Amino acid sequence: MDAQMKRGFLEVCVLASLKGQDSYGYQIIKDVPRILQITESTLYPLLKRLEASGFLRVYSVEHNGRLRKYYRITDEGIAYITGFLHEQDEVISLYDYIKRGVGRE
Amino acid sequence: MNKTEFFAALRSKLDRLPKHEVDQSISFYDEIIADRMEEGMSEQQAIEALGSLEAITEQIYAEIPPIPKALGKANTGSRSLNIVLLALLSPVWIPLVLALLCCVALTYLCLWLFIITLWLVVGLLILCAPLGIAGLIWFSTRGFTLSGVWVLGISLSAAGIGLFAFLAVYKISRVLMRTSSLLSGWLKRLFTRERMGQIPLNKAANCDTKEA
Repeated sequence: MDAQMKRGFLEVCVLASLKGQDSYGYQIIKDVPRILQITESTLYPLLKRLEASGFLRVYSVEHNGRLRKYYRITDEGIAYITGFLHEQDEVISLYDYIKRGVGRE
Repeated sequence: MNKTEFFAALRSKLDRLPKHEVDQSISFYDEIIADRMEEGMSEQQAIEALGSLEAITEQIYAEIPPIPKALGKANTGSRSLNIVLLALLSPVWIPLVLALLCCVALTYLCLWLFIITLWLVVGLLILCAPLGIAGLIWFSTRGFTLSGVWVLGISLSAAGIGLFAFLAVYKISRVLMRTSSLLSGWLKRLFTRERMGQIPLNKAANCDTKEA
């Protein structure tokens, strides 16, 4: 997938992986669609950015004698996803155009 | 390379960054290594799965805003040495910071004074209309009706110019206010992490392709 398109989808997909339930770093990497090829080095700054923007919260839970960081989506995060989905019709119409062209011949 | 060596290497590459940033990133990767090992990977495999040290370092650096990054470069690593240097060099950096603050304040002042002046001019021009009517009445009562009509004519012309100017000034002040908020945004981005707002459809086009 084109690098720029990937970047556009990464943040909202990470948020989407938190929509149903809280999750943690490694689980998010497994849940996010493979085609986005997310790695730890991309996920880490992305989570920081999402947290700085108020779209998710972080909290720690004890797991097997160590502390694991869990991420929970906020209302603002859900609103962000909703806003992104609203663009869906526009995106579909763009793909239609690319397929059909202007159709003037 | 085992975990301790890996994190020591990462720490040394990040040595200029604030300690809490480094600690946070280390604990993030530590957690992922532990998760992978829980799933059966060996420590070696888990570390390799993280990617190259360079990629990780580059990503962490890319997210730090310019001014904290520059301050990080000036960090000597020793807290007391930092404080001593800061105090010794205060005759240099304090006036510089004050000067920069003045520049910023004056830029804003110029922008806003300009906007206010434009609106004052428009207001005064339009005010000429009622003044002209008052002038006509005043001149007529003294018998100089023709002069009064002349005054009214000039005032109405001025008011007319004012009405046209109103549209122009409105557009100009919108541009200037936008400039002002762009300036605020730029200044803010020097200090804080990029925040996300609404998604415009061209968002992907605005992002750089550095991380492919």
